[in-house]
Amino acid sequence: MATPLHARSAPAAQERRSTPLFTERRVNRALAWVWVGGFFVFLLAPLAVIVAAAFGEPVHGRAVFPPPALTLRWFGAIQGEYLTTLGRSVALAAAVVVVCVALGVPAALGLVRSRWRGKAALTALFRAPVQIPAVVTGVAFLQLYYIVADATGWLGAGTWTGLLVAHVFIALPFVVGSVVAVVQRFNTSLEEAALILGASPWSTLRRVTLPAIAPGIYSGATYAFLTSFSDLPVALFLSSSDVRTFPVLLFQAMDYEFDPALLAVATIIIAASFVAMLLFQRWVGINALLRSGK
Amino acid sequence: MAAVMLSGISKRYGDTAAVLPLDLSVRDGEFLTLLGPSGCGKTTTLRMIAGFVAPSTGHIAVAGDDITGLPPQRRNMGMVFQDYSLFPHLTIADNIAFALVERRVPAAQRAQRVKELLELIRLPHIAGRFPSELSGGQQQRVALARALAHTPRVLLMDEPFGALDAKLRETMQEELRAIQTSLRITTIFVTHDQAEAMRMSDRIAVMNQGRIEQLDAPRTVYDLPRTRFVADFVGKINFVDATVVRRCGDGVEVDSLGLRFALAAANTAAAGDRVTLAIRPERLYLAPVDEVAPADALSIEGAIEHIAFLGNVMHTEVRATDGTRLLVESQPADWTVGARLRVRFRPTDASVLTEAA
Amino acid sequence: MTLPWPRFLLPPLVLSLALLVGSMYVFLKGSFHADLGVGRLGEAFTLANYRKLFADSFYLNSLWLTVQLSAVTTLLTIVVGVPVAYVLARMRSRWGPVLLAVIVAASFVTIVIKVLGLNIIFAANGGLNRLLLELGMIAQPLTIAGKVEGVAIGLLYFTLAFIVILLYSVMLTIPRSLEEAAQNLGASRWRMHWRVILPLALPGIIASGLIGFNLCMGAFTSAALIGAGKILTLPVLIQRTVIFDTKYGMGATLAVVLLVTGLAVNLLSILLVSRLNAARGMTA
Repeated sequence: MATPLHARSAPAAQERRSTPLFTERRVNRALAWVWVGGFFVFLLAPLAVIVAAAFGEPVHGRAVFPPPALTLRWFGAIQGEYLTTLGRSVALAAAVVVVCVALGVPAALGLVRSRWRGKAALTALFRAPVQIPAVVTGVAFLQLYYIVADATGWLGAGTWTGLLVAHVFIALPFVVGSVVAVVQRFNTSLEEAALILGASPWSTLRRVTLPAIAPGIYSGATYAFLTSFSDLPVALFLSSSDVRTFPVLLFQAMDYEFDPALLAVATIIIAASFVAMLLFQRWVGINALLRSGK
Repeated sequence: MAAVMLSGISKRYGDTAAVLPLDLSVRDGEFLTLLGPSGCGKTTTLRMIAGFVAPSTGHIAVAGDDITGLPPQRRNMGMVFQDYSLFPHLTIADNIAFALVERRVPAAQRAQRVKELLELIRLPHIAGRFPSELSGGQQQRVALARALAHTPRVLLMDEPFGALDAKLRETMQEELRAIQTSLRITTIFVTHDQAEAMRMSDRIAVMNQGRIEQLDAPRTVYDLPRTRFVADFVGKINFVDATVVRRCGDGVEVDSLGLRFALAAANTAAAGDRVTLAIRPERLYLAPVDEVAPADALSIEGAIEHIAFLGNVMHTEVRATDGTRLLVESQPADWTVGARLRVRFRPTDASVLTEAA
Repeated sequence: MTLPWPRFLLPPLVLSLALLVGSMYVFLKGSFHADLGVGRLGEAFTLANYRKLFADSFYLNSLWLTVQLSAVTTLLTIVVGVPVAYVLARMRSRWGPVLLAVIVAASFVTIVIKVLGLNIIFAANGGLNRLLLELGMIAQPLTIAGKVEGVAIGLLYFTLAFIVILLYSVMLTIPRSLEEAAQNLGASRWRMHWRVILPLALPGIIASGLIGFNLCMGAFTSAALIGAGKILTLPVLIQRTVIFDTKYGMGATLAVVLLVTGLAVNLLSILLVSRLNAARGMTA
């Protein structure tokens, strides 16, 4: 029997005996499957209709589900601007990851390893950006950039650098959080083993500590990438007509006559999300994502 | 010259002393065990030798060089940890070669050395695997190979077999001892398991509350414990009150169990002092009341209070006529509770504890 | 191992602190200054914004709506998510990791795209509405645009996948042996879930719910896109006040109220959980 639910808890003898059709176990199992099945239908429905509509003809200029006929023309109709915007969003998210890892990994090591009394307060400080609604962060950075521009001439609003700084701000907590989680669980006798074998502390950090905490870094990096790539509210305040991320483009496009070619781009993003998940599971393991989620 | 010399080494954490000032000289090529219950300071002592813990006082010298201030990476030691601590992201070969890479040994030489070590631990086929793919015993062997790769001056081992099951532990103990003897590497081994210490060591330092209570060959520690703690920690033992009658040469004549006899004593007890004698249960013999004792044996009369049959041996509790309770370990025999008998022993099998009674 | 750890911490700390304090100070202090129009703020310190906010039912309704929507959505997320997380955590087949991966991948997709999908599903001439109309189950097409229910659905999609992942980790921490023990004692499955698993998972469920609630309180995208200017939750109102009305002072005041309300709810829940734990400690 391939049914996995609670398979072991019943004595084997009971399994073999011919049982009535509606035992409590069977009813419970059926209910559980209906519930879980319903959940997945609900969860995936919006994504599924986008993919379906991206391959379908529109009705009266609007995408519908189910589509009346299948076509590939929307993929051919993707405007260059969509792809450049998508590319810039990916580049921005990648830059956010690089900066967040460069700042977050040392921060996490420092947080766990320093013997300061105020460490709890510092940990809370690094978490703070997550607690602030993104809209508030967006407005606040916009105003901060105005003031900085008045004082120094450096432009933050409507520039990629400005977006980068703001996205680093909202994404850094995820890197710090997941790396702190792995460093705390990290077995320091691994470092002692490296030291006694002749490795200097820096060499130990490079050859032992960093590789050992890598899963935490990867999962933090993944969350940082998604935070930047998925963000709408912050980018909405800080983007300009030249500098805008893909979510902003999509948001603005949804207000007006909707171009079905955007569904094709969305389909590419959905596919990329699933591919990214598969790669992560293969290379790092899904557990790294779960652990840092807590 | 001593391979490792600790002089006046101690460690305090705030108000609590983990290790009181102690001296210890480990001989070249010796297998020395620090034995004691948890919290006795044995691991702290080992970690001071390794360089992970800075001693509060004292000096550590290896082959005459003072290394007290050296960081662990410059002490040229090898260490096997309780949880193996193999690097999970490196293959077995890379784990073993770790110290060689740090020492910039050329790749070809490294590979040769890894091969030698894998043969030494009799696991030549696992070079490409990762630690998570090995059993506990295999990981333990790899940890040993890794600790030996750079031919360290001293091998340190911190309860390395604690996580293994009893049977595997015995095999590993024998293998380790064989490897240690063949390489003649000075080894300092920490354990709380007295049988393990007995089986493997050239000498045992029994530690308690931050002090070394006795440092001797296993046999001496067992047969002639110097303190109540050592006597009690290393197997079962009987304690018997005695009064010193007079000193005679290296020993004392005592009055105990209603008998008067002479025995060796390392302490300075003087006539009239109350002392404690310790004697192992298997050094006591049960005999019928009317049997004639050999010339060198003493005997006292008593009655059996309790018998426990343990398979290969029998534990008999005897209450002597003067009220002292004695535990006797013997071959199983047909004694019954309540039977009157004589308990026989040789004065040379008893030791006088150095502490005052 | 000793490396200069505090020095590792210093650069990120200084940067984070500067950005946090800098941005929040600049923005939130605006709540104590009057809006003079076109984005300018008065010099004088005033509580006028706060007085206006608490006197105007428009703002108070928005606050109340935000809290209500967040609470209802969170409750829905928990009710839907707990059984799913439990079943996945107890699953022994090889499909378990696959299903989990699907949820994680779904959480990777930005809410903007999910809302786009919802718009297609609930299009007036879409398949769902045509089907329901033909079946006679509805008289008018079901739509979400500009409706509170629609915004709730949008918020649900914003948090659901992520919260189920959190709940899954919570469920993993409950040892299976406990359930077997409860069953050996004769508890039926439903009673066992009710009396053994739920109490054990409760702190984790509450913590996850709190995270979901915080996410909803701050959620902008689904509320803005589905609300279509008719459903004004606080985050949407903040954006509109700043962008359309260029009233930074009022926007900041709304932000302060949003932050404080979120904080108060968090503190209350922490208090509740600790009392819950204390009560349990006494009976144990």
